[in-house]
Amino acid sequence: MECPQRERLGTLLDGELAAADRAACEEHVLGCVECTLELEYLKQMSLLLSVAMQATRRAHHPPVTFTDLKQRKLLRWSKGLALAASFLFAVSGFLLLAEGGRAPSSADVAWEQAAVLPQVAMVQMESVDPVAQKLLGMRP
Amino acid sequence: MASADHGEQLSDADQDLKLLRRAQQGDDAAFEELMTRYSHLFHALAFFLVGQAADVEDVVQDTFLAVYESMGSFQARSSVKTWLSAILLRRAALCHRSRRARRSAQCGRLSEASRALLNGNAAASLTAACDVQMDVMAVLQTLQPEHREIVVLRELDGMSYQQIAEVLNLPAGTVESRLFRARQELKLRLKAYGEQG
Repeated sequence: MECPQRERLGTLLDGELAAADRAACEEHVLGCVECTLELEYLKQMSLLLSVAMQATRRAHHPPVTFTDLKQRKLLRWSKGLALAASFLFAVSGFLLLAEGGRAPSSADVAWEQAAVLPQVAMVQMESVDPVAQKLLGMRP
Repeated sequence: MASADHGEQLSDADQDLKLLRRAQQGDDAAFEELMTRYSHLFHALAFFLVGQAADVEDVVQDTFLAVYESMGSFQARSSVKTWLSAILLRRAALCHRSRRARRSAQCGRLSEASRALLNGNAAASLTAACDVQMDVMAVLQTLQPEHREIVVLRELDGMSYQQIAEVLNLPAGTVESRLFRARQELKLRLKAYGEQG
C-alpha cells in the first residue's frame, strides 16, 4: 500500500504547497521512509533534467533573424504553390479523361456531319467519269 | 534577462511586454530583440519536445513566424512568455505528429553519467552532460505527449503551476495531478532504461 502523501511530494519539491500544508508534509516525510526515498529520487530526477537542460542551453544556436523568417515564409508559399499546382494538374487530368469517355450528343454529331458533307459531295463528284460529267452538264 | 531601462529596473515580463508593444507598432528591431531573448530557451525546449535536433530550427522559426503574424491579437491577458510558450508547444506538437513516421529517437540503456546522477553521484556526471542530455531527450520521447509537455514546462523551463495552467489551458488543480502522473511515468521509464543492459 503506497503512502497517500506521495502525491504531494512533487508539489512540495516545486515549492507550490501553501505554508501550512508544506509544514505538515515536511513533518510527515521525516517519519516516513517511503516518502523520504521518493522525495530523494524526485530530487535526483530533477537534477538529471536540469543537467540536460543546461547542456542544451549552452549549445550554440544562432539567434533567429528576420531574414530567417522571410525565407521561412517564402518556403511556405512555394510549398503552397506546389500543392495548388499539383491539385490543378490532377483536376485537369481528371476532366480530360472524363471528356474523352463521354458519348457525343446528337447535336454534336449533326454539326460534325454537316461539316463533312460538302467534302463527301466533292469526292463523289470527282469520282464520276469526266465524260459523264460533261454529259450531265456538270462540266462545260 | 533583467536590465536597467531608463534608470528604472524592469522585470523580464515587463521588458518582454514593452518589446512586444513596440513590435506591434511596427518596430522590427524590437521583435528581433524579443527573438534573441527567447532563442536559447526555445531551442532547448524544442529539442526536448520534438526529440530530433534537425527539427528544432524549424519549430523555433515557425514559432516566431506565428508570433510575428499574430502579435496584433495579443492582449496581455497572460505574460508574453506564457503566450510564446503556448505557441511553441503547438508548433512542436505539429512537428512531432508530422515526423512520427521517420522518428528514430529510441532509448536504449542509460549512460553511466545519467545513472550516476540518479544514484545521487552528481559530480561524476557533470563532465558527461552531453550523454545526460541525449538520455533525457530519448526518455522524454517515450512519455505520453501530455506528460512530456508538462515535464518540459516544469522541470526544464521552471514554470510555476499557474504559468503551466495558462500555457496548457488547464485548471491549476489539474496541473498538480498531471505533473504527479508525468513524474511517475518518467520515473518508471528511467528505472527501466537504467536497469537495461
